[in-house]
Amino acid sequence: MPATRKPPGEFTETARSFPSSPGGSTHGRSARAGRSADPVVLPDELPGFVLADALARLRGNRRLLAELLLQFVAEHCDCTVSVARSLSTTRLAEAVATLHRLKGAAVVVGARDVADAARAAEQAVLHGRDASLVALHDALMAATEAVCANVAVEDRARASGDAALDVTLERLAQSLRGADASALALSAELRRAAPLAWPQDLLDDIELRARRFEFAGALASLERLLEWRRRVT
Amino acid sequence: MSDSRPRLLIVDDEPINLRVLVEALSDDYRLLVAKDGDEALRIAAGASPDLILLDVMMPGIDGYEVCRRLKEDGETRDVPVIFVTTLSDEEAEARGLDAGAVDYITKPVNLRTMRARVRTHLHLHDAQQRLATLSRMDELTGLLNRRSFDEALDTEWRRNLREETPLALILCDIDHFKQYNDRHGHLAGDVCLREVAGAIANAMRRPTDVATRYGGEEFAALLANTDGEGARRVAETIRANVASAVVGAVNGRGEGDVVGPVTISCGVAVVVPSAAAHPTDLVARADAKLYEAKAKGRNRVEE
Repeated sequence: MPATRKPPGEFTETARSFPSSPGGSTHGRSARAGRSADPVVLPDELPGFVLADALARLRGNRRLLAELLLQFVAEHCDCTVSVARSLSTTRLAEAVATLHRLKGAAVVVGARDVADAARAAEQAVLHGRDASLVALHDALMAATEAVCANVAVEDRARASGDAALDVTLERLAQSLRGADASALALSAELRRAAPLAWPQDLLDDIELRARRFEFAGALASLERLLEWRRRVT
Repeated sequence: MSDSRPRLLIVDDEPINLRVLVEALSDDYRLLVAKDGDEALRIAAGASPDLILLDVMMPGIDGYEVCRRLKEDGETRDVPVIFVTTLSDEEAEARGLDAGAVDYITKPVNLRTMRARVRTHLHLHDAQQRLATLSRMDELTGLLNRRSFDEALDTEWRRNLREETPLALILCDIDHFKQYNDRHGHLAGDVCLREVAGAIANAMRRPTDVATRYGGEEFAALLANTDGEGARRVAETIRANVASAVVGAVNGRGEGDVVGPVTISCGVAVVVPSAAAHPTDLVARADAKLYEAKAKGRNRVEE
């Protein structure tokens, strides 16, 4: 199954599905090249992106770049809407902050066109000029389309074992309470290792929030998961 | 198993930036994260990070203000701060460094150079901390030195003035130390100083008790919130510990030897600090009592 493109409003988070055959990707040749060593579909080039520079900064970590690209479009694809809303209510500082964040994230993942458009819009707002958001919207949509159609990250295999899961749950709770970044890896580990019978929506929510570093929200979901686990056992 | 890796606090409101820094640094460091300035200040106060990576533009208070507040707080003042930001103009960088940051890195960050810079600043910070510690210690005895005594006296004087509680000072001097040195040599004298220092340090029971080498063969013990009876008891303990110890030493030729015993005299003074008085008054009174102890035959405590 190819990585499917979702409308921006419905895009949730990192694509979980990995193409069943490399040819499923629009950029099959590049995807094949990336897949043999690392279960990641990441083309060498994407329109509007400078992936080579981003990859060099990330020390060639293709999986990380693929995950960041997916996270980038998931987090920012509807950014224009929030900027427009801020501008329409003259909350200029809020608009500048949103554009600044977008620009920073775009630069990190090599989204050149989005970064340029966000920079232009930020400067326009800062200098009291009319900020046309059309170029930014177009750049964001093109970036979202390119990433959703061409980038995917494979789920790693599940492993189980109640004792190991209990340890992971405990460590994850501690990390979330202490604002410890190890929560990021632990939440991913939990979702991979938890049996399919576990509430997948909670596992997904915990991982998603941890990945956004929303630790309080992740902890709340983890507590719901623990409560569920107490009930069923 | 406790995690002994250095602890870094990363502050950024953008998850993608946080993610990149976490990926760059998670192998070597324990990482804490905050998404805004308030959270950063809360975590910094509670978790004592070894270094902070700080974004500038964030919701609520910005990075400059966070840095300024960190530098104002005695608990976090010395924690190195590195700004990591997309603001690349000269003015922004100067403002960041003026706020007290040790470095300023512009995004997008290169993971290799980021790791190198963090490592360098942690090494520098560690070296500075060790130097600061060394500058406060007396190398021979391992006690705090005279400078530390002066600082502690000033601090405790103000604290006890505020709390209207008694502050006690015990000044100790090794009896006939010159003759001891002349007879046994300076190496034996050094051993003697170390053993007396150990006896004084062992008598300090509370975290706030301060034992220092005051100079030469003189030592000072500063006891906050301690009355005359308590101070005299501590002084007697010190004196008895020293008197009962047989000082093992090496002689001038480097051969093992046993010399001693050694005795000390102690002068004790206690005051409830007042605005009209001065910390040196306490030292003068303890010094006078020490002379009295010497005059009355040594190996004794006078209060």
